[in-house]
Amino acid sequence: MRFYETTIVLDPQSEDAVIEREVEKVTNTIARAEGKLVTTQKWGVKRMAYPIQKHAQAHYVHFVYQAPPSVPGELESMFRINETILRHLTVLVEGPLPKPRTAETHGEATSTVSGPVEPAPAVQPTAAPTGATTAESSPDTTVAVADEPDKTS
Amino acid sequence: MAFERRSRKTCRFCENTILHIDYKDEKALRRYLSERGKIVPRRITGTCAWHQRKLTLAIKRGRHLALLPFVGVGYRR
Ligand SMILES: [Zn+2]
Repeated sequence: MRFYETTIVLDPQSEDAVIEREVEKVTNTIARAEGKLVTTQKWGVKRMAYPIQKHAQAHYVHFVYQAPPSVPGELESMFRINETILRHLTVLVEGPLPKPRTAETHGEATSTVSGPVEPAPAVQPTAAPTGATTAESSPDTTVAVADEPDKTS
Repeated sequence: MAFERRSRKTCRFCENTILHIDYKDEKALRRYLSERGKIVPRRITGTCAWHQRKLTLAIKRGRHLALLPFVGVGYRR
C-alpha cells in the first residue's frame, strides 16, 4: 500500500450530480481495492492556464489515498474512456501528506476522512543542542557558548 | 515576472529548507516561468541543480493539469 494523489479536471458544464458520480467512482475504486481515502477536495471551477477542448474553465477534484499499486492503473483506464474528464494526474505523495487547503484558496475543502497519516516523515530538524546548559555550571571551561565575542580569538 | 537580480545568487528552496515542491502551488511556481511561459534557467534564478530538477517536474505536472501555461498569454498563435 502506497500513498497516491490524483487530480482530475472535469468539464465545467457537467452538473453537480455528474461530478458527484465521478468522485464516487474514484472513491469506490479505492475502497474496492481495500485502499484508504485520506482526503477529497473539490477546488471548484477554476480558470485554466490554457483552454482544453475549447473550455476556458474546469472543475478540479483532488484525492489523497493509500492504495495497492493496482489502483492508479485502474483509475487511469477509467479516466481515459470518460469524456467529462479533460485531464487527470496520479502521482506518489512525496513527504508529508498534503494538508487540506483553506476555503479561501480553493473553493470549499470537503470531507477530511480519517486523521492525517504520515507516509514517510519528512526530515525533521534535529533537537536543540544540549550543550547550552553546561556552560553556566562551569564558567572556567573554554566551551564557547555564544557569549560575548572575545577579542583574543 | 522579472526575476530580480541578486548580488549573491542563492537557492531560495535551500534557504527555506523546502524538500518538496508542490505542483499544485501554481502561485509559487509561476514565479519560475518567464513571460513566454518558459521555465527560467537556474543561472538566472540561482536555484541549485537539485531543486531545479524538482521544480521542473512540478512545473510540468502543473502544466499538464492546466494550472500553469505552456505558452504565456499573448504569445499564443
Ligand atoms: Zn536548493
